[in-house]
Amino acid sequence: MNHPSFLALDHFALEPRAGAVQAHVDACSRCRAHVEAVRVAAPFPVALEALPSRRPRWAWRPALAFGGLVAAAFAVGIVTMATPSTTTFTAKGTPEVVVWLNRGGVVTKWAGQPLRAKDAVRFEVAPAGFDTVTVYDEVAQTVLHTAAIAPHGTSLTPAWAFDGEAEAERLRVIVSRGAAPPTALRAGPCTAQRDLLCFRFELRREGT
Amino acid sequence: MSDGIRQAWQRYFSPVREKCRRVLGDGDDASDVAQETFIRFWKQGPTEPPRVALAWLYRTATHLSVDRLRSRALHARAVPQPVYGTDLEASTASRQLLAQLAREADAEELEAAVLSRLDGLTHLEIAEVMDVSERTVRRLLARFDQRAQRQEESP
Repeated sequence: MNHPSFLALDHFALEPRAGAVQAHVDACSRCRAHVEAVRVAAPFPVALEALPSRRPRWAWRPALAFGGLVAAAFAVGIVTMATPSTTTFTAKGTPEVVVWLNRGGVVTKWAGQPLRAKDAVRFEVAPAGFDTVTVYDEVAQTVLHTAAIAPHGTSLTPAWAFDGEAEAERLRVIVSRGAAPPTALRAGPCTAQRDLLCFRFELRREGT
Repeated sequence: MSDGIRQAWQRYFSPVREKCRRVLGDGDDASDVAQETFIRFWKQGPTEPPRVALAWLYRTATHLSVDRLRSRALHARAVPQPVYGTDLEASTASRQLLAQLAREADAEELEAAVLSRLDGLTHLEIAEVMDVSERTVRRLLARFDQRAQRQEESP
């Protein structure tokens, strides 16, 4: 029997909802036992009452180290556009993509420098009216990430670690209205199409 | 404030404790790590919505548990027998393997392996918890598997 993950079971224990997890828990005595076990509160250690109050709600964001720093960067208005290799948008109100580089826990805006193994990058997208972001790996010809995003404001993609095995990673960030069409997800120029804008980034390995 | 921390404890401590037990066994280490995770959570974690809170707790508990596993490996301490897992036998084998590789594997590899092998998370769930892409998760798990295979083949 395939069981839901413990994360899914724990989520179900906190927020029961009808669905596949509910059906499984009803049928599986072991998963039901887990859900019942985590619903039993452990005795509260009185010593914890001495802990200081939580910080204000907004302040937990830096706990997500990468995202937090990026959010902070936006807050002070230092975000400028990255340099897509084929298309550049600078006018106000057009989509922008910024690449953030995390090297050993230090986050900076990527300025085209070569990457080292274990560097991580992620994209900050200001879609300016577009509602979908897609990240496409040209080398592996794989969609790494696609998600609906708020058409205004900014959105962060997940981070990708650079393994240093290939000489270069070539990634496209596509903002579109609706899902990116297959024509945007194959070899060929990274150009604007109807309801779609394409940014291309070549991330080279250090020493190549 | 007191009510707030009690409420958070009642909702989230038990899942964290069970998660730590899956990695570290039913001993003092699991209790210590679970409590440390909760204290960090109270100081800087998101208490709502539960899905986000749980992802944060899983990430932190996994990180701290892997630190403890590596510390055990360095000091050659015995690993208590597991009490939980997606399948008891497979879980036991996975935990023994994790303990054996704790000294040499990267922390990220171990964290992905813990979430996959002991917590039964899908790649998508691991990506969400670790705040990386699914591709990175696949790479981490592939490296861990290669390392495990070398370990099995070594005399």
